[in-house]
Amino acid sequence: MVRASPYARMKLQELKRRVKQSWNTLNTWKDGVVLQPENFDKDTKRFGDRRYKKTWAKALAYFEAVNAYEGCLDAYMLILHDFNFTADRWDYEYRHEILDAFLMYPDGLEIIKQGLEQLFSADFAPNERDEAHGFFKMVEEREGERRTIGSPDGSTWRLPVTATAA
Amino acid sequence: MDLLGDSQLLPPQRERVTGAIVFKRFTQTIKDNGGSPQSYRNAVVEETKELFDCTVPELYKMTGGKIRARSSLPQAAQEAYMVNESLSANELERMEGTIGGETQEEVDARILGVVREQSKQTRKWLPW
Repeated sequence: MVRASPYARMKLQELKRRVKQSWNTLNTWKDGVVLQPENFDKDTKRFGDRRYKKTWAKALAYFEAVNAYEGCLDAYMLILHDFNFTADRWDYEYRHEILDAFLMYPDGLEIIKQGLEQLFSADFAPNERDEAHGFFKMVEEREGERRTIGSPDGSTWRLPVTATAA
Repeated sequence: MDLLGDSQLLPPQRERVTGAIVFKRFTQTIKDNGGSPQSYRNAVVEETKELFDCTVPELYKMTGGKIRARSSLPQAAQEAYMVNESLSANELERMEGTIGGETQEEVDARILGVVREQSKQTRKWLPW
């Protein structure tokens, strides 16, 4: 399997903790105060039976994707940071699920395209682009799995030719 | 120093400072303080709430910014980010090596705290 890697799989308890943290971030307005913490149960139950790990994995991917979308002031930040998954990151195991969830936004794919255009503009030096290797590697994995970056209408999209040199 | 032994200082590389350049310095100071990959966006979310009382998607929607690039925001908004990120970066530079924290979450929370406090101060000087 293409996605095999040396990362350690997250235990359920840790996964739940990460889901909670991700949800808290989304539900904080100012000064770190979490609004309506009682909604956490309701918001996680809609991903399925909470006795199963896959339910929590789905919730994590969704909340992380929403966090990435809500925090995206400059699209290139997604490529350089949010989705620049390297094996040392805690969320590496769920990188594809997080990106899949992000692509559910109607403009998700468009924002990623904008991010690449920004990163490949004159504003960035080649060494800055190279820092996004975690993102490019993930895209390669998806091409290997025929899980390309595609839009909901079934059309797919590939990295610009210049990206392969990164 | 060159091979003939005539050493001279290189002239400093300077360029016009833009919002993007200020933001790069801001993200660099977050990195230098040990921020996680998620800490950059959380910092942006935090400063946006404090400076504009809204979320990033709301800011784009309200101001008619078409793409997710700060250069598509009105000048006043770009200036607010620029000023705040410049001042936050100064504060984070000053704190480098002292921010501490036993876990990554604690480090991130402290970085976010610095950005939050600076943003509250900056907000007082904005005309809205």
